[in-house]
Amino acid sequence: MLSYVFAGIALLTGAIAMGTFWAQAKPQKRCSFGITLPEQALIDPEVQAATKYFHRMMGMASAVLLLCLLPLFFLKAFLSVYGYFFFWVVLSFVVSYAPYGQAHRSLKLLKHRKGWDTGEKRIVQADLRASREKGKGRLSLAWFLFPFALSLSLAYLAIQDSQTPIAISAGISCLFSVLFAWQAWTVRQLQTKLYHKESQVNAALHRVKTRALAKLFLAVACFESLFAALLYWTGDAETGTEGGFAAWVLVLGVVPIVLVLSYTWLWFSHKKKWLGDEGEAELPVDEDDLWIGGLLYRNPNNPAIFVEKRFGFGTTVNVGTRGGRAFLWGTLGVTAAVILGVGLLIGILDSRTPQLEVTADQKVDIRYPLYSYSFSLDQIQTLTLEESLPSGRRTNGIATDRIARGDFRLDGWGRSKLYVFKDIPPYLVINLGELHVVYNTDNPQATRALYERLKAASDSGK
Amino acid sequence: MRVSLDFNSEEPLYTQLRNQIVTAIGTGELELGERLPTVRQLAQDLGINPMTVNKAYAQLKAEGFLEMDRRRGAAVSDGFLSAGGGYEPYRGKLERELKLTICEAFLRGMNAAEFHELCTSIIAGLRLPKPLPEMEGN
Repeated sequence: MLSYVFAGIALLTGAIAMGTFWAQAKPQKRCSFGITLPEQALIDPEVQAATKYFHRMMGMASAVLLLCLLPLFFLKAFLSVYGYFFFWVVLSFVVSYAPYGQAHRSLKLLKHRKGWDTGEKRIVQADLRASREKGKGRLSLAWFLFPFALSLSLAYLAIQDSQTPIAISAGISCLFSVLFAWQAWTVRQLQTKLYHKESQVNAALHRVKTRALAKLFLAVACFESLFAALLYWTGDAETGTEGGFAAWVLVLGVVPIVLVLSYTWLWFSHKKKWLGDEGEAELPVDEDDLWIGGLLYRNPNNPAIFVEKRFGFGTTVNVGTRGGRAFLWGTLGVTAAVILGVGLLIGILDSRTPQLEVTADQKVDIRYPLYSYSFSLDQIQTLTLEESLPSGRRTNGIATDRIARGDFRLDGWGRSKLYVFKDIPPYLVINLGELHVVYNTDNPQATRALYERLKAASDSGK
Repeated sequence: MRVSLDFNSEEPLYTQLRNQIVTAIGTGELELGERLPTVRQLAQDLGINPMTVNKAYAQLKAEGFLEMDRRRGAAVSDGFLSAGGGYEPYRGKLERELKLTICEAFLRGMNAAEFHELCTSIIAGLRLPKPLPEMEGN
């Protein structure tokens, strides 16, 4: 099951990476593969040949990536599914970038060789009136206090109720509120673009864009916190089923996409309204040299840390500034540290076996780096040895292909604490009334012996 | 009103900015009393160092083209109209620059008639600002 989940997420991220680079072959504002070309160059045989070659290479890259996904299913006995998943995600970026990078370099050379002129280089422009108006009508960042306060209260309530998954969800949405508020702040710093010769059009479009983007970030932040609120009030942990859980995940994925699409629609309809059929004003400025490999913006003359992306929406960093480089390396460092940290934690938890012991004071003690638990022998209502376990889902714990440890909710049993090696029955099931504790070792004989010992201790106690 | 700064030019960026603002005032693109963006806003939109914009604004202020207000920011001023008794103090500078321009134009093959014609068409395109009403009495 875990392999399928990871494969699904990997395929999605791979498809996004491939799709992003694939889209670069289609000229946008006369730009293909990050190289601005004159109108006549778009039908040049050499450009078309380069595009055709790129498509062929992308086909091959897709095939290679799909083949590389197979070990996730067939070699899982020898490798960590978690580690391989991240390896594959990095690989998918590298492999899907390769054809793009090659096309970018060959078009750059071609442009130079043929002397195609696409405008002045190293020229900066601004509209004084639009620039003066840029602060007007912007969305107050105080709006972000609403999702932040809601998430914070939910996290507090969930911690009080010991609902760890909801507390985590609320904590994440707290973090998202701060991140989105920060994103809305960076949007304010964006350069005012020159869409038209009229200053009022430039000012109006800049206002529409920055307000709409800030509202989009606010909407996503509100959605995140309302989602956490719904999770809390519907008591998902009590009533959730597999189907219900899938519906939650679907809502969590679909709503932000709908919000982004709404923003895109709003932006394009406003642009059409203001610019009419004239389209965007042609500004003969060639910025190709400022985009390394057509991807990274590097302009040491520009002190801005965040600049608008060349295509698509949102911002990207200017690696030509010290702040931009620090942000880029910081983000990569934190991401790598989180991935390695979680990997290390899973590795440690996976390699350790939970120890079940009956102590001198008639207590059963299950020790494990996380999710340790102990209870008195008196609390045991029934003690059975089961050959199979009902299906269920994790609420706070770890579940890999091999093990399941921590808090789970099993169908028919409700709240359960699992310390099991999957597919190595029997399982020692201790019913404590409100909670089931399930334990086994990787040796069925040892599990049976433990059952006998525990049963004897429990019976003697009664 | 659009400003374009060329990093390839031998002319410093702040001079380019100063010259374009002066031209915009002379051609009526910028009106007297009109506010300009703050140093930060303009530096952000041009993608240049704020010090460059600051230097251009400081020069424009010294020359009487701009007035700076802590609250309102920079605005086009008519200070240059009354600064130091008309254009007389500027005459020497004008003569030097014009001499260079005429020499270069003639060396490149332009004749006096063509030069006069060009000057006439540029002058015809100017829409020189009038002093602000509330300042007329000053």
